[in-house]
Amino acid sequence: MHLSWLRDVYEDACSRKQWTVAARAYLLHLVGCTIFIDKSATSVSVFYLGYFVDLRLTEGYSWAGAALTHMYEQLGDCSYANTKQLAGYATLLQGWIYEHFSSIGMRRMQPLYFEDQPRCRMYDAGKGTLIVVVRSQLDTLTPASIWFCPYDEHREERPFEYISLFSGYLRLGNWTQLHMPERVLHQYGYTQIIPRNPSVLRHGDPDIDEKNR
Amino acid sequence: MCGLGGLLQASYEVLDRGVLCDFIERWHAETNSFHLPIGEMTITLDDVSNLLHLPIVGQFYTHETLDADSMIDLLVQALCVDRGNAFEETRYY
Repeated sequence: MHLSWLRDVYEDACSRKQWTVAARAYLLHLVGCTIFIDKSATSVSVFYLGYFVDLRLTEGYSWAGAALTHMYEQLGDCSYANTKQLAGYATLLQGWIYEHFSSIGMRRMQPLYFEDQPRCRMYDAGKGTLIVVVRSQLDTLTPASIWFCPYDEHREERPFEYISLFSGYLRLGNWTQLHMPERVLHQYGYTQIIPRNPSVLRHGDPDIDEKNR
Repeated sequence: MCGLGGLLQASYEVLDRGVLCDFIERWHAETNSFHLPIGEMTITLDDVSNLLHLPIVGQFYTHETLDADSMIDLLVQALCVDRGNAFEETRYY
């Protein structure tokens, strides 16, 4: 459905004082503009309305898992179709790049950032960077120029959850995507070992333990 | 805000397409990671939690895809729109 249509539903519901309906329309619009944004950027699938039918359950979903499944799905589409248009939530990717790669692009720090805000808000895009420039920046990356674990000051707000080391399939509706922290152990402060072949279906825990630290 | 409050203030107004495209080029769907000269790196659940303040712990959304009639039913029930309106809005999806 169109996001504009959803805005009309929201306004109608507000004027009729149907607050639950208004809340559903509002929340669906919010995720449709952000983590579930599609290629058109003007519509959202009716499918996601299921999240908000019973608003008491909405808080109980793994929203990070859903956002990441959607992101992996869209990145996979881009890499297969060889399209340059990212359908996923570009803010998430761009924030991730700024967070880990201080030497790439022209990121600017927000002077009014407070640690209780999402970390995306700490940055702002500078003027655009040419693809050829970024390409050479990426080709000459060294480990010293990367922040593998950038969130130390942020842990009071977002404590580390051990379940985020989960290695296996994340799910969003019919989509399943592999989350494989064992391939990026540097990002958890560990030394990288040779990971298992991704085609091997995983059960149970990844090989992450104290001896690798 | 049902765990979604972080999204209210997250989005960038300006995107750096050059940077995004270069990373997308290096994405490999088999490993769900970017292949860089220094090894693999990826967006993890922990990154999403810090960047967007979304909860990691919770249920997966396991609903099945809806057929056209179920979509209309859902719109009528959850958003209190009439069937005709719901039909018009879902016919292209």
